[in-house]
Amino acid sequence: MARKTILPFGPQHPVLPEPVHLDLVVEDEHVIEAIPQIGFVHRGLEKLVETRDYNQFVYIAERVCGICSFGHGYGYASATEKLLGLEIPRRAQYLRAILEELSRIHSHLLWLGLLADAFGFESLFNHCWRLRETILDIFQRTCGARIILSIVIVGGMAHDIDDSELKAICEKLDTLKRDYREIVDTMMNDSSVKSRLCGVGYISFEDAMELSMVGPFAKASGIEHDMRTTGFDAYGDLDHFEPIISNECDCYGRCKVRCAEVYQSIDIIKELVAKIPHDGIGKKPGPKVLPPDGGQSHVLIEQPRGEAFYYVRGNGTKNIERFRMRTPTSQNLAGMVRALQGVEVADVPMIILTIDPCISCTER
Amino acid sequence: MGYSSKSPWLIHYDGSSCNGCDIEVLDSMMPLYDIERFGIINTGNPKHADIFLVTGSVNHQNINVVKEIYDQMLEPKVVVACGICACTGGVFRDCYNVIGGVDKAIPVDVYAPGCAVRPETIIDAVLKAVDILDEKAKKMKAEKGRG
Amino acid sequence: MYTVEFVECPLGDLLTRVQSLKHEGLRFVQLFAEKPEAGMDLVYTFYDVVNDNALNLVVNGITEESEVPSIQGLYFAAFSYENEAHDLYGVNFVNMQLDFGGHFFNVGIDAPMAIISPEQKAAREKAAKVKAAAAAKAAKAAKEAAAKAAAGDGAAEKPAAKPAALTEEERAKKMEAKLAAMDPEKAAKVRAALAAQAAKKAAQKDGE
Repeated sequence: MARKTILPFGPQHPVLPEPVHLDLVVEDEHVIEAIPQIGFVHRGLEKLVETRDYNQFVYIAERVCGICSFGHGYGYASATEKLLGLEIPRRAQYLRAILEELSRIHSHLLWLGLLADAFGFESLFNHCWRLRETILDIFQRTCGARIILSIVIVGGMAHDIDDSELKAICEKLDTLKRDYREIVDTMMNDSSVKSRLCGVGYISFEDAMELSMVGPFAKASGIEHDMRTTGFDAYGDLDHFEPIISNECDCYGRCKVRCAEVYQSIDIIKELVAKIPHDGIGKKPGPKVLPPDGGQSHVLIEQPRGEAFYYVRGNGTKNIERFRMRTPTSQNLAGMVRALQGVEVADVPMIILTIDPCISCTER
Repeated sequence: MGYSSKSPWLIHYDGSSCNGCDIEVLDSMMPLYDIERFGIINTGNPKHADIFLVTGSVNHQNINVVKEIYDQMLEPKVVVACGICACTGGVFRDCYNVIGGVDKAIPVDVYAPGCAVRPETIIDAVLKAVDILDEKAKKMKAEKGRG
Repeated sequence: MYTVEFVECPLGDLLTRVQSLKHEGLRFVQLFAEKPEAGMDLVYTFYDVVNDNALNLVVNGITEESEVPSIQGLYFAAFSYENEAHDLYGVNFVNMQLDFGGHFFNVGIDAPMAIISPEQKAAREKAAKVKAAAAAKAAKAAKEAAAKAAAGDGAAEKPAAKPAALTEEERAKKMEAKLAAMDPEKAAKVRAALAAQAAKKAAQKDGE
């Protein structure tokens, strides 16, 4: 006898590090429909732009999310620089790209740990987070903080990172790569992991296109979309860049894409460190530089979770009139709703985690 | 830290935090900082927990969730506010949807400020909470004996 | 590097425009509302992967009464943004597939982002004043140029030669224009300082 029931999932749930609520309409063990309910983390910080001037707001933008913190500061600063017509030195652009790639490694390691925790692979969880400490140590040494770096300013970087320090980063990444390969090879070839992930949460290429999905979630469905291919900022100087895709379209494919992206990021960092120019790091624009009235600009950058959108509109004063950010997770919500249709209840945590939602980014 | 009479279990709930403090709370349970060496285990069930770690401020939607989790915990229980947002609202105190620190919803015993709060601070705060938990347990016992 | 384009689109044409964009295979990026002086604007962003172009459709002059057609039927990913614009700005969407009925974000007040805060109002007034001052300056410059042109070539060189020798009156006029651009509190302070300065000068003259 099949009877429809509504199963509440979250906001406080052992596998969820963040609060999101899902109403799962289930029939026996099958999910017919999943309706997300968000707003538990909504603070309304887009409105704060009215009380902080455009230089101060970088620090608020960084606090949108603790995982992609650097990327938000980067996105906001580059959107504002575009609005003001500021040209920032190449070295600052390189440093930003290097830190963005480091954030990607840290975010993917964090995600892999959480995924392992969700299917009860406790030791892998601990190992991933142990490796992640390497990146946090680098942040601590170069920026002075572990999570919120506060190194980006509008107009460049707050301080430089020495060449010797950059070399040390590369050496640390070599060690990380060796340890990481050991972990990932073990995990991806494990039969119990495969049986848990293969064929679960299938999203076809057509569906992914239709739902305008972004990031590793889309790349695992065969969509070659990555903002880094457009060569914004320092990414234009890379010899060769090709997004990593997979045609598996399921949870296993998403894991594969993210695991491979870590190696790719390590290579990008090494290449950028080898090529980094020495033309200064830029400085804050003077108090006379004001965003033009009615001027608007937006940028698209590639965050660990996919393409992110930042929009600013000036009004001729030191405050910005409207700041808007669209993070990859809010774009992927539609994909999440689609992926959860018709799956088993036990697979729901797996699917949610392989999408890697970042709720505080989504709600701001 | 004094000696605790039991191994306290903790539960973590993310208020409207930016994730920064959350991952530091999780990080303090990982091999490098390893809060589990004090016999502390992270649990997902409020009914098993003694210490409630809250990160992030309280807003109009999650205030009831925070209260609900607190009510489900058994006495004695201790609340630790992790991060400056949980203590006072932090940079977000002016936002239209933020009510304020966690103490606007439930009584807080230990405040651990920082943005993001460092794992060392969390360990200190939790150990302080263990002391308070023991005191509360002792008090309860004394009251029971009297009654 | 990708290019960015802002295109205005009337509300009536929105659905047909979006439909044609969907047929061209553009990816939906996002949708947001903003509130400049009059009414509300909706900005839809689409990304053309082939030409690397970000196309923004700007729908101007939306009020709380206007019925905005939902594009969820074409791009389902818009559901979170439409519900967000409804909850935070009070934009009225019709024919939504997934409608949370105002409970997507449960905020304490209705349409919080649509409220114009005192800070924003002050900023706008200041911006308007700056604009007015700039316009006045431009008008004055135009007038002077016209006068110069009328006076002939010989006269045109004269004022350029001695720009520093402004009379007291001109300086005062310039100061007034500057004061008009400041916010009232600051202007009052500056005025007081100026008055004090003038008094001091007068006292010095008396002393001599």
